[in-house]
Amino acid sequence: MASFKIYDCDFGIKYNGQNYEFTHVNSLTIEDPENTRLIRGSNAGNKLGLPYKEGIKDAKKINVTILGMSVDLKAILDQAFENKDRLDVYAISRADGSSKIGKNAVICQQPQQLSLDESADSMNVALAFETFDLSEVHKS
Amino acid sequence: MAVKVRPLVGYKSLTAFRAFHVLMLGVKMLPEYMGEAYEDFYARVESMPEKDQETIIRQAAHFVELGKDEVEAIVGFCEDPNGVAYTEANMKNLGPKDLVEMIVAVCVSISKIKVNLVSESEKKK
Repeated sequence: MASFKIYDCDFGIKYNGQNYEFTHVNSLTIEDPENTRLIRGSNAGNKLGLPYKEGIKDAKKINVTILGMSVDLKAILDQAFENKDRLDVYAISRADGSSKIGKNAVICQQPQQLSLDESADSMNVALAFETFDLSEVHKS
Repeated sequence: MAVKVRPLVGYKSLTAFRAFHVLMLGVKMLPEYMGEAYEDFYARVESMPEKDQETIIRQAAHFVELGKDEVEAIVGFCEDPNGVAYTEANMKNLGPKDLVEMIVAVCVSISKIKVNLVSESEKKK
């Protein structure tokens, strides 16, 4: 399974037509289970091998920790998790503007409050999403 | 757009309250009101019907500059269509028209708050 990390990015969630964007997110991890592999017979004489795909029925997973999320938004995301609602997520690198967009994602784990934030109105929350539709745009 | 205003409580309500008076002071600086003392001007605004108050607040929201913290404090008492109060995370969805409508709605609520050094009952005495 391939795992990518994006550091210092802006991360956004689009849910019910509303964008929720968080700037300067420390890091975001994307786990991609899709692999193309080679196999050959046990006599080991074939130099080309047969390519095959594995992990294509499993979704790509996005893990991110948001600092200072409002209590309201956490409640909405809890509800989206319970209802298995679809949402779009995106991350834009602050270094070069390249981006990853995951469409029709679901929240795959209950949003977790990591610690009590200093403000009563906001909290630090770990989020995990799964999507099959992950695309990226590179800026040259 | 119908704007739902949350109860004006918490630290941000004070920032919003002050921002409302920044708006009112800005309007008072217009040539037509400049001759009045702020207290007299504000007392007149307070005694106006809600619709006229709304017009003055709307006028103020159109040209009086508020700081980012003040706008956030005011708009933070409104909710987006998902029922999430506006914060820096979702304020980017708002255009000038939405912002003005929210400033007006929240300021009309603030205008109903009476904060006087001498209360009405004390004045009668």
